[in-house]
Amino acid sequence: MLFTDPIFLFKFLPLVLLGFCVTSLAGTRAHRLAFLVAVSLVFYSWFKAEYLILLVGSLIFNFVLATKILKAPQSKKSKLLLVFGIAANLSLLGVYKYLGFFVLNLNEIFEVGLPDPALLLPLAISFFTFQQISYLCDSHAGKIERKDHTCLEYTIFVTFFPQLIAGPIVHHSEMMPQFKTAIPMPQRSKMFAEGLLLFSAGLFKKLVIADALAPHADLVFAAADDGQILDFWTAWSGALAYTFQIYFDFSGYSDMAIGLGLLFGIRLPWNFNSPYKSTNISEFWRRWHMTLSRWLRDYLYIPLGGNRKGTARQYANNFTTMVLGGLWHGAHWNFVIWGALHGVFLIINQLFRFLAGRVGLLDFAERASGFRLFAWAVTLLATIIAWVFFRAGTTHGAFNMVYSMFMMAEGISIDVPSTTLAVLCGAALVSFLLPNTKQISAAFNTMKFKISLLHPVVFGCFSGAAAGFAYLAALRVTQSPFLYFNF
Amino acid sequence: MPVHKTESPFQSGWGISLLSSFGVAILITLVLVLYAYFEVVSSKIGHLHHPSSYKWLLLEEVDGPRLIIESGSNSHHGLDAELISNALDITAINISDNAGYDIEQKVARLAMHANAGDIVVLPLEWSYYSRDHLTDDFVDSLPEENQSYFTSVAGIDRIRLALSLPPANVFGFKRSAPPQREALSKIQQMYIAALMQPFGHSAYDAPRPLAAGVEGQTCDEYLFGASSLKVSKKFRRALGALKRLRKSGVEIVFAWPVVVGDDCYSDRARLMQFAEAVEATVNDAGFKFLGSLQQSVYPSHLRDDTPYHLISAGAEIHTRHFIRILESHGIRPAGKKRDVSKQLTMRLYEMELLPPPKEDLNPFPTNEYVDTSTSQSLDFIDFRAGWWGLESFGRWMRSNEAVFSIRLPADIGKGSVLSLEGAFLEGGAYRTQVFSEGVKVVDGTLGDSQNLLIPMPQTKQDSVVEFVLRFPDRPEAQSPFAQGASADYRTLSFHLHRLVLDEQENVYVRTEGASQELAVHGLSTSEFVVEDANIPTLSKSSPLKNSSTCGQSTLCVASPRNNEESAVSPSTVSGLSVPTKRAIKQDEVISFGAASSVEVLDIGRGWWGRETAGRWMKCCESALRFALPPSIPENAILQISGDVFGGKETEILITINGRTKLKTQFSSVKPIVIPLSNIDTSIPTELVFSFPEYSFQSPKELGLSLDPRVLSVFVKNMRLTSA
Repeated sequence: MLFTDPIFLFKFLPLVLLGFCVTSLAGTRAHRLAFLVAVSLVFYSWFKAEYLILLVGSLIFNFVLATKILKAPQSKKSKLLLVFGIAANLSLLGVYKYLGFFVLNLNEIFEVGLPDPALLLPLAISFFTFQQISYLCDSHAGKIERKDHTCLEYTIFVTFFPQLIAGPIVHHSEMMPQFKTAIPMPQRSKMFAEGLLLFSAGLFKKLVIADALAPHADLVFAAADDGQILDFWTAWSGALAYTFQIYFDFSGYSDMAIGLGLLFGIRLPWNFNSPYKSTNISEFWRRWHMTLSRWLRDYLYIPLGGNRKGTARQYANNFTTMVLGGLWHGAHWNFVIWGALHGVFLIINQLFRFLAGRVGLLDFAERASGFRLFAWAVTLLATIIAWVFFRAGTTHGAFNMVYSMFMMAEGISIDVPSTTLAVLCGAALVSFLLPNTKQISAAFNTMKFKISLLHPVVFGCFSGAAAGFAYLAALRVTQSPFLYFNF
Repeated sequence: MPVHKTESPFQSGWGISLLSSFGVAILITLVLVLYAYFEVVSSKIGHLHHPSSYKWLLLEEVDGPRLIIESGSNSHHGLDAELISNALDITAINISDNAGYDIEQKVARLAMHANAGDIVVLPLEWSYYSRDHLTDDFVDSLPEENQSYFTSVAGIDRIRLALSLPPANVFGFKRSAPPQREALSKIQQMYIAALMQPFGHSAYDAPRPLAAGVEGQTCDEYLFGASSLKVSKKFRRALGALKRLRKSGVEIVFAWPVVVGDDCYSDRARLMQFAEAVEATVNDAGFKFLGSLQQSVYPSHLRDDTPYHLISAGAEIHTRHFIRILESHGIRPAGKKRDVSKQLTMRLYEMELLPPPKEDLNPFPTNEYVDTSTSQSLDFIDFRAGWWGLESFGRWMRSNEAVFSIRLPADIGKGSVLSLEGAFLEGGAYRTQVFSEGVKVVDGTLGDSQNLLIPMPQTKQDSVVEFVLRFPDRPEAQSPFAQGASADYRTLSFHLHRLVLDEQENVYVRTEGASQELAVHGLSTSEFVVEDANIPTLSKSSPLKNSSTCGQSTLCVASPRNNEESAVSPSTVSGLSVPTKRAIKQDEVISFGAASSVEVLDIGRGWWGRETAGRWMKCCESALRFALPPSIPENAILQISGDVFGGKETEILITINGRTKLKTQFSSVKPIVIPLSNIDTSIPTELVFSFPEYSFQSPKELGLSLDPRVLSVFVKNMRLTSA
């Protein structure tokens, strides 16, 4: 059940909202949370009921472990429990996500002929595992009060259905207090309206833009994976189509998730902030998949030493973090290369800043508009090249694409349909110039004009139009699933 | 917490009323967007002057009482309605189309067009009983062959259909469709269907490759899919509508679908449970099934491309079997078998006349030939009714009556006439009447070497004037297929080549020009066809200066495949049709100017029309085909004689059967010689003439006459002889 499925939009969501209203009006806070847990588990089991056992097992295991850690945080025992917990969580992730990849490489290198475990990746395992690891870490670090650690709140923190499948990766410190807070009616109404606004915008981004670009990107990358060399324009059209597809797909999904959260009075963290406006790769990672960047920073980069142990170690930490971040997306060498590329880009950026600072040009580099434009173009180019590895189905396919993009080789040509071209231009315009949903949401929250009917009507019309066009786009015969469902 | 950081001073103003305003704004905008889309869809595909497919035409126009077979493609291929009509002497029509189409829409169309006395047989595919949604197949076809499904519904049903249609289909349809000028119109396609498969059934003689999605599935998987089987709400609603239809006097019976394959119905437990549920549902609604499930199962060797499709041999077996079932149940509508083809072809002609004449025609040019084989001709002529599509060399009339209109120029001169040139399928000339606004304006002769002059009304400057062209004495038009000449099913009568609008006096100038042109070649006027040397009067035919008969046979015509859209599609690479001619005899002289030449020669691309003394090649490349006798001497040669335009000799390149090439000089002095040693006489010999150093011009360009045709070599005779 995707957020864009009619069964979700016209049956599941209205019923859940109705049930939520009833439990909010008639029941207690616990009833409301219990109801949300129940519907979240139903939502998860819709994809594959068998994996519900895995999710619930993981929940119970981590909750019990956190309870034990919280008895004596920061102690040796709690550290042992934490190590055990992290190892167990990573083992679970490793078995389902990386065992096949490991076996494949082992067979390839040593020709040992191990059987492929052929395990199906349980949906959302990367997301709920990371959330729970962070919870265990913070329990050990004493950042969680024992009195705040309750079964119901822990369960809804992990399973809340708007963010369960593909994030945003939430932190307990931003979720748990919300479960306790009673929101007054005017505030609740406003959150509800904002939720509808964001959900409609997300629908539009996914169905009107991302899904319109997907067929061309698929076609071009399939040709490259098939061993074809493409002509210059075809390769670039495919790379650009995917660059915008993944942004509008994932940010659209995140907007929908945040919007859904608001419908239930929960504000999820922002996940995107116009990443393609970035003028360096560090900034890109502060704007792209922000909750993953935050998690990697707090639970990997900083524990590795961050920038506290010298420049060389900082570069190594950056590189390691990005490679592991790449591997988090999937068990494939292309993700490793993608992460490594971003690691290298980060190092280059930091090296450049270091050298520019030494010669006194850093200020100029940060302020001169001409140089900023150049930096923006270089950053975007680096991002696009990295996306090629992220998207290609095979490593040689990715190299075929890169070769085709830069070597001006004679290769096969695939026409870009005029509608794809139009959507591509529109997507670029939206990405580079227009305000993002975070800014629209801010405008919604901080009115610049006197309160009147005009305010909700303007945003209502915006939402209605977005939903209307999304509905029409959804009539397309083929729809692509959310890309981040694979991770 | 972000929740608390974004508080605004107006926060408290947000209550239910403002949320309501927000919600209402969303709803109104949403409705407006969808309504605008509905209007766009309606304006694009909501209007039709004729049914959108032949199946709809059958249902709407064939007079009852009828036996109507309605289902998906299992019956389209499996039940031969013509055979049923013949066997029972009833009118049976097969309107089965595609199992992906919607059952409720199908019943709705029956409710609209079936009448008391009609009997509807429903051998529905299994998916009809279990499916609850509109399929992509159905939705995608709404802008085209199923447009009638859309135009025939109103209100909420129409909105529902419009809002099921992807924008790409609505907008992409117009963009991706071939330009109307190059394709057969929908009416022309239906006309072909009325000639080829008048009762609506068609089947292939030999199996086609398996269709997409069939390979890799067992028969049962294809028929039933993997999901659980239960009778759908949609089918139950359709049954309700059928019950209402029955009350209006229409008899309705069900039948099991044809399935083909040795492994069909192997999962008996699953099938029988579902079949029983279906039968019980149908019986509960008061309807019955004809025959048993097993009676519609056929072995794999009769399968076409899917387990629902029979090849023609299987269709005949199934149809005969079905006839016995109908007889045993006493199911037969009243009335006799009708000539469906004749009724529908006439009706299609009438339908072409339903939309108003095109008003956006350009004024017809004066003193210039308008060649009907060019798409530009459509800027000046509206071929309203009774014509086939645009094709090389000219445009065919379908029968002995057709309508066209032109816009007269604002400065039309006094005594202007419109001259028509062309040829009949069988050659010769026929009495021709032309009517305009119900008044007969010409009663003359048109055909081989005779054009027809139509007087133009002086009071209609810059107005569109319509003309009805009629051949009262000509026998009913036949197709080349019926004549055994080619695979072309189209009925053909007159082939209109070109028209010219000019003042009457100028017609003589042209004739004089022709004389000058003849002089260039050292010919006398008597060598050209001048059957009536007198100045033509409005009621008489005039001499046709340059008769350009494009193939007396079917060289220039389309080869329609079944009832598919058919543009010009020559049956061979060179553009020549399969010959049905006799072989050339040894030492026989074939005169290209003689009408009898068509008994031997297939005139391909690149020729002008036959004239008394020979036939002109066009400028660049001309193809010719003929059959040689089975055995010819080793030193056999072909001599071809003629003249070069302008009297000079020219280099000519001759390609023989696509391989051997011969370069020689063509001159008026001596014939060219083509050696035929080692030639394969078992296949038709094909010659392609081309001119490497082409620099030919038209007589008009040379100032010799107003003849705009670019002329190269005038071929007079050909002779098979020995060196």
